[in-house]
Amino acid sequence: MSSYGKVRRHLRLWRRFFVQAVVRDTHYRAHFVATIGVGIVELTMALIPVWLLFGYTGSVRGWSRSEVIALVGIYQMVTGVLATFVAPNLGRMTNYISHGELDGVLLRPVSGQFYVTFRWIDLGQLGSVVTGAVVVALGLARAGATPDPSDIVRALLLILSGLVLLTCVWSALTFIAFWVQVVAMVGETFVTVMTAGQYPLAFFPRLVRGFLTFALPVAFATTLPAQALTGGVGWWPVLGGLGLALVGALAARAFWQLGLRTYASASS
Amino acid sequence: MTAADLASNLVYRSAFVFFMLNTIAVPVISLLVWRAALASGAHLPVNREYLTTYFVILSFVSMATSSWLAPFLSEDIRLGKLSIWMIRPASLLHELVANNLSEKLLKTVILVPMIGGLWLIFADSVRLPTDPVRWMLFVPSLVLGAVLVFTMDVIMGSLAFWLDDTGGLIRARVLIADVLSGSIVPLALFPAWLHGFVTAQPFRFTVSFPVEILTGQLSPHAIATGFALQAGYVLAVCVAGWAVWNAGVRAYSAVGV
Amino acid sequence: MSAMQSDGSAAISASGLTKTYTFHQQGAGLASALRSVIRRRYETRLAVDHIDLRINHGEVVGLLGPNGAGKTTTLKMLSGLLYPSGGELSVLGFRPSERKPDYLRQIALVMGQKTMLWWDVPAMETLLLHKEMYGLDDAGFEDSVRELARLLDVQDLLTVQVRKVSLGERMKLELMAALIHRPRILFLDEPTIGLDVVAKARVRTFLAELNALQGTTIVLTSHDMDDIEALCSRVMLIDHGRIGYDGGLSDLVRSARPRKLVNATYAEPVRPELLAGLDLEVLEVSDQVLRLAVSRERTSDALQQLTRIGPLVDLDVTDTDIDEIIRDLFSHRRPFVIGGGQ
Repeated sequence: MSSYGKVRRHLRLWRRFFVQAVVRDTHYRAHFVATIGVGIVELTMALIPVWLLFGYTGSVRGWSRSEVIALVGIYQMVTGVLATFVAPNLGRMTNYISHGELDGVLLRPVSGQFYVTFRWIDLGQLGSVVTGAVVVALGLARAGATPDPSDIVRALLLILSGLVLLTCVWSALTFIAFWVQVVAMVGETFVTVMTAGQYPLAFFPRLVRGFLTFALPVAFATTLPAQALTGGVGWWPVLGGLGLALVGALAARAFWQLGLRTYASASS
Repeated sequence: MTAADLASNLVYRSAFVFFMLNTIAVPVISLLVWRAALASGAHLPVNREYLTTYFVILSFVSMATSSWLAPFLSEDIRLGKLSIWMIRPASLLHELVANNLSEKLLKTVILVPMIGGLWLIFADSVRLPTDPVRWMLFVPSLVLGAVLVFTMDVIMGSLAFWLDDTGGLIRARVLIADVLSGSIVPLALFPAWLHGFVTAQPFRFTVSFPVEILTGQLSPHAIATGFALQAGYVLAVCVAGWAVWNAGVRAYSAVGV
Repeated sequence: MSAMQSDGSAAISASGLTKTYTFHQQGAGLASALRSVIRRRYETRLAVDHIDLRINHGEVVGLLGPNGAGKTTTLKMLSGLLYPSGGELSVLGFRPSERKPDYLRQIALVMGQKTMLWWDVPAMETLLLHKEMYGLDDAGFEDSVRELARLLDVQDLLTVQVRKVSLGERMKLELMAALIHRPRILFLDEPTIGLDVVAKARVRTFLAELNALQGTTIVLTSHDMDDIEALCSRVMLIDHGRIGYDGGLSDLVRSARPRKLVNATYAEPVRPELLAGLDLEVLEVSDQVLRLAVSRERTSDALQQLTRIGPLVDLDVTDTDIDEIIRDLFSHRRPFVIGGGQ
């Protein structure tokens, strides 16, 4: 089967995942509504520290309040996307790997890694994407920023690379379950450390900045896009982000295949 | 029971590497952000020493008063695994407490070097109190704080007696508590007009109050009022918890397993 | 009862197939747990020991053996879930552990204990998912659904949430999901475990019909003798990772001569004098219950004798444990016929 055919089939498979999620959420409406509600609480709570911070000063390391608010909005959108399409799956990794549910996946003629990473979708989390977008718009307006189409494209590409990178790092961390038992804490830790992304990278000391750019690459997902929108990143960070995203994807795939080899050698 | 719990917890040793990171991540992030604010010339009502000391102590206190049983309790209720416990709720309570304490013991052991590390990194600004009285007052406030969180968690988990999906509510409570307990921003940094509210609300007594005792920012009068409020909240929540549990069991049995 | 449409070509062939695996030992208790933090002890285990086998297209073969014999491990290697530690293995011309999509499209695996259906949605949703995974076209898919639903008698269940369906019906839906893409080989691991008698019979009938209609090669593991008896004319006995017997079932039964266990409960305590008159092997007497072992040929004679002892309240006739049969076989070291069907 050609690569094109393979990609098409996996996209069709993903479409079925999505349709099923819609079917399920129309059935369990309470959960859907609750998720949206929690998303709003989350956004509100995330804005409180910003509001407190800028009650004492007009600018921190060159960032104004409105700019940081726009950043928080981007952060909500990014975490919303991850929470919708990626988080529900990575939380189940121990079930797949430690409880043998992976067996049912491995014998299908589809990519096991694709299935395991994208099977489940929590549609209610998309609410955060909407509310986040609103906050971004408000922040940009109050900051007086007028991004032109090129800025917006750059921001979107940066967000895309950030999403890919974060997914790769997060899934790679969950793949540790192939070798060591019980790593449910991993996902929690990842999400907790990722909350640093709701503040501009500039707020942190140099070492931490490096960590947040290359180890847990939330910088590409939040700070850089925010900077792009408030008028100021060249094409190099964008290319860098895309390049890193590609490297990350390849590394994650290699790690998965390494894990599978261990899985298929181990006992029942 | 605690020894057996400890043993099974050792098996999860890999999890504790990540646990350390998880516990100190939020306080460290907040600390760095506020230090950046100070460096940018913000005029805060507190200084750098206070901030650093506050967050270092916080990373221990928030772990020490934490509870994680709500989702598990909800699931057990939903799956009908509680039939035995309902006849002997005392033993369920015993098991939940034992699990809570044994894990915390282990987490303390693992957390100590981590906090030591933090102390070294921020050595110039950490000022732990030497006054033994404050430490003596710290301990009961910590215990009461733990009881408060534990009981609130039991109540949240018990909502599963009536609701199918408690996940959202549990998470919402955690989000709100994080802010109001001073875990994200020290309560001292809330604007003056909110001072009365933040000082009186119950979440302060889950984390912030014990930390405030150690940082020495409270007058004797404030400590006394604080303890009175804390004890009052603990009592109220325990009574509420007992009532909710019983109502839940009654509702549960009415429907049948 | 099963159809054997071998056309001579091998669907599955293995030689010297071996599986060893290492795991770490940890004892119970606090001291052990502490020790394991510092140093781990590893052990190796030989799960499958140089197995040779050859299964032709259209055969229905049973792998029979006690728990821990290596049946599931063998099945997992045959399907491609586990890498063999040694030996050669070819299934449908492929090496299963490579898990090539063209290979995976032609096989299916159903495990009795693990479900592959999704709980919160109707079974039809799972079927549609499989349709996408296997790239089935609309017409072929619909035909397959119709035929399987008819054979399994689950037409009304397809739109019901899986969690609301009984265990026996769920197994049927599992089978349906597994077969929707018309695999050439069906691997089954303990397919009837946990099912009631009626459900078991239905599953067995279905599998026999499947083999007859579509010529599907079926390899199943079980430690339930009745599964094997109902479906397979060829059975392989596995114990300690080795095949002790490979051949016709009737031959095996004859050579094993498993006995029946009879529990007879009487309305009043049995009088010892009457017991003496029996020429049956009595295993246990308690008050009102007699427990005996009876050879299959003598069952009706034995039952007649039992009714003459006193007023029977309850009578229970079961097979001796498969573990006992196998142990019996291996310990008596009878000459076995290896290879070749009936």
